[in-house]
Amino acid sequence: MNMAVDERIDSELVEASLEGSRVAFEELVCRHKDSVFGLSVGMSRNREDAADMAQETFIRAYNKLGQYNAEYSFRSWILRICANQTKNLFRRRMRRRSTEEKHLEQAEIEKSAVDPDYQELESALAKLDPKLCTPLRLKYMEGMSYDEISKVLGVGVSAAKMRVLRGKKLLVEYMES
Amino acid sequence: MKEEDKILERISNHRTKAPEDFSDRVMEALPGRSRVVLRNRESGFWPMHGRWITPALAGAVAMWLIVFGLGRFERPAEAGQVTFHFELHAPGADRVELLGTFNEWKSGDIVLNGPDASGHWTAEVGLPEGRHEYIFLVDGERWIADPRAATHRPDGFGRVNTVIKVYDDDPV
Repeated sequence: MNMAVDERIDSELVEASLEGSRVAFEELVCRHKDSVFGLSVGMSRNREDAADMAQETFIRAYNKLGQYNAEYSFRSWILRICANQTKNLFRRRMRRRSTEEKHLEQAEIEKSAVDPDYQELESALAKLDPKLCTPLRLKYMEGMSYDEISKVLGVGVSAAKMRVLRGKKLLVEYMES
Repeated sequence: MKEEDKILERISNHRTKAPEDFSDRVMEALPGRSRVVLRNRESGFWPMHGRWITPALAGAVAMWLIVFGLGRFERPAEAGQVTFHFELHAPGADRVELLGTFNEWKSGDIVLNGPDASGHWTAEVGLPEGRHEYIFLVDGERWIADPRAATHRPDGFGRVNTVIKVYDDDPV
């Protein structure tokens, strides 16, 4: 069976979504779900929470599509929504329940849900502080520049570089031990 | 190849995969079409077979009456009002508010639009001519004086307000 590939670029899909096409938005979800989910996992260290956050991110993006500026990358835009939303969620949770925080520190990884070839890597990533893990994921998994990372996470470029460097060092330590 | 390079190559080749049913879950949870700004209303909006003529004419007459009526009773433009552009760079913020002497320091009264792609929040506010003090409230918890302004003044409670004087350069 031949599956038709949607060759429209992201900004064209956004435009079509704004005109009412849910198919176009679904294509955007398919293209960027792994990036958004990966960032959520990096920030929450919990796949279940990450799935909820990633879902919330797309719903929020859908409601704010009219604000998207096509001069910039859609991926960066939606990742920034995800980062802000996740940060705010944790801020609220930390105010409400300190136990929740402890729960999140357990670095749960459902092994069955991860490709066996990469379980060791995912486990090592999960041990990292989200402040280091998140920029590291954006740098190497998403191939983003430091400038893009700084915009997505709302930190300075030098802070982004420093966090990637520290994250890399720790990841290597965890993988080797 | 060094061990570190191998690990980095490994991470570069890896994507954390979203759950299989993720797209379906998102699409099911999306709100109805009315939540999105629909730009193209060609299909389905206009009544077919010329049935639009009567309501359209009635609408046009109503609009004319409203515009005519408003024109007759239009209030004269408020003298001494100046539109001032407020801007704050806060890329990580979720909400930025503006509080000042012009809105009696009311929280939630003026919320800035943003962030744009470069992390800027903006608002255009009509101010009476004269001196004003204000401060930004970020995410309901951080008080920030306007870093772009030249004059600041302690408020006596440990925070610093920004001071501006606005005058209309081009009075009508």
